[in-house]
Amino acid sequence: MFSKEKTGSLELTHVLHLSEALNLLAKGGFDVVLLDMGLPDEHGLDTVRRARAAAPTVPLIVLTGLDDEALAAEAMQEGAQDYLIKGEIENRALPRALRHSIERQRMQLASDRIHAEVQARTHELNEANAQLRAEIVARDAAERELRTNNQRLSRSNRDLEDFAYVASHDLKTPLTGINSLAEWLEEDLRESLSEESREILGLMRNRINHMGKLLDDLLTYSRAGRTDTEIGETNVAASVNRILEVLAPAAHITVRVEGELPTIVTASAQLEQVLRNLIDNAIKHHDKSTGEVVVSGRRLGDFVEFRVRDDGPGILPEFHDKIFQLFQTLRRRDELAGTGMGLAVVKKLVEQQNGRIAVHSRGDGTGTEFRFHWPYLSATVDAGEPTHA
Amino acid sequence: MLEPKTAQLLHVEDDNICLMGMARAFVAAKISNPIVFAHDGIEALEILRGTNGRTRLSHPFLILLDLNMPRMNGIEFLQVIRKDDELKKSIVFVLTTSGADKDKAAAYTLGVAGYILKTNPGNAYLETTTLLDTYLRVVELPA
Repeated sequence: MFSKEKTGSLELTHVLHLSEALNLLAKGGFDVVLLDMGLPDEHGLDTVRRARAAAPTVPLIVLTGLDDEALAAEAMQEGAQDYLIKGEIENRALPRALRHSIERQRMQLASDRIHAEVQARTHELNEANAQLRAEIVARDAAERELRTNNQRLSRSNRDLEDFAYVASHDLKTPLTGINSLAEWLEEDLRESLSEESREILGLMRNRINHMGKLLDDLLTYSRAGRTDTEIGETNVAASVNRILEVLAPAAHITVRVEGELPTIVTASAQLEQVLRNLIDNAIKHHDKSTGEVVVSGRRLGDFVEFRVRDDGPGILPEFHDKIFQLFQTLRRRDELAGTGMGLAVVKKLVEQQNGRIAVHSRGDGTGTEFRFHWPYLSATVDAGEPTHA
Repeated sequence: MLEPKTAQLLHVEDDNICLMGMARAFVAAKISNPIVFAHDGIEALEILRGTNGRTRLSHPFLILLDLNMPRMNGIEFLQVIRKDDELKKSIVFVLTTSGADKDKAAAYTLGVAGYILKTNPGNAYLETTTLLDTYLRVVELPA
C-alpha cells in the first residue's frame, strides 16, 4: 500500500510476518505500529495481544477489513489505540493518523509519568506525616515526663526547705538549754574551777554559739525560699545606708557608693539582704591595715547590674564555684565567725529573682568584685529630680 | 490577815531548764515570791482548782505561761480560764520562743498582760524577773 516511501518526517519499516515485527519491536526504536490483523503467521486478536506484549508502550493502530468493525472494537479493548479500515484510507489521512497516535501515546506516557510521580510524592508525604505524628507522640510523652519530673523536683525542694526550717527551729531549743546549763555551771563553779576547766567551758560555749549561728543561718537560708516576696519601691542608696548602720564597719574600712544608686520597684527585703551579705563579706574578710569597699549599681535594660568591690585578699579562681555552696568557707572552722552560709543565701536570692551572680578575683591580694544582675519592674524618677509627696 | 499576803508565781512551762532559769533568776535578783511549777495547761488547771490531789493555789498570784506545751498548750489554757468564773480575772504573762504574729494576736485577744519573747534566754530570764518584780510591787493583783 505504501511500500518504502518517506512521508514527511515518518520513516516506515514494512515487514510481512508478525514474527519479524516482534523481533524488530524487541529491539525498540519504533514510535507507532501499524498492524494488519490477518498476517501469514498470526490471525485476529492474538496478533494484537502479541504485539502489545512485545512493545507495551508503543501505540498500536490495527488495520481491519470493511466488515470487521466489531473485531476492531475488540482490538481496542486489547490495547490498540485506533483502527483503520482497509480501503477507506486516504494517503494524506494515514500519516496524520499515525502522528496523532504517536502524539497521543507520548501524552499518555507523560501523564503516566506525572501520575506515577504524584503517587510517589503522595506516598513520601504520607510517610513523612506518619513520622511527624510519631514524633509528636514521642514529644508529648517526653513533655509529660518532664512535667512529672519537675513536679517531683519542686516537691522534693519544698520538702528539703521544710526540713531545713523544722530542723533548724527544733534543734535550737535543746541548744538553748545546753547553753543555759553551761552558763550556770560556769556561774556556780566560778570559785572552784581550775584554769583548764574554765577554758574547756569557754570552748564549749564558743561551739554552742557557733552552732546557734549555723542554725540561725540555716533558718535564714530556708526562709529565703519560703517568705512571701513583697515588691515595693526601693531606694537602694537608703538600703545601703541602713546596711552600714547595722554592720558598723571598723574605722580602717571605708565603704563608699560609686555613682548614683537607682530607686527601683523590686523585692526590697531580698535585695537588701543580698547587698548586706556581700558588703559584710567584704568587710569581714579584709586583711589589710586600710581597706575600701565600693558599691555601685547601674541600669542595663530591665535589670540593674550591682557591683560590690573590695581591695582585700581576693579569692583564688579555683574556689570561685565553691564559695557559693552551702556551709562552704575557705577559712578554718574556729578562725572566723562565718558559717559559710552568706554567699549561698546570696546566690539563692539572686537566682530566685531570675538574676545572675559572678565573682571576679585573681586571689593575688588585688581584691574581689561581685557582680549581680537584679531585675526590677519599673524605675521611678531618677535621683536628683524632685519626688512628689 | 492584816498583813498583805505575798503574791505567788505560777510558772507553766514544759522545759525544765527554762523553769530552772526563772528560778535561778529569782534567786539572783533576791526575789522571795514563791514559784509554783506546772508542766502543761492541765497541770496548771489542777493547781488553780485544787483538783487531782493538788493543793489549790491561793490568791494573790500571777501566771507566767509558755505556749508550746504537750496535752494542753498555752492558748488552750487561756481559753479555758477565760470561761471559768473563778479564774477569768487571772493575770497572765506569756513567755515563749514563738514570735508568730498568730500567737501574739491570740494571746492578747485572750487578755494577757504581756507577751515576752525568749530570744536570748539568759537575758529573757533576767528581764522577765525584773519586770515581774516591779509588777508585783507596783500593781494590785486581783484577790
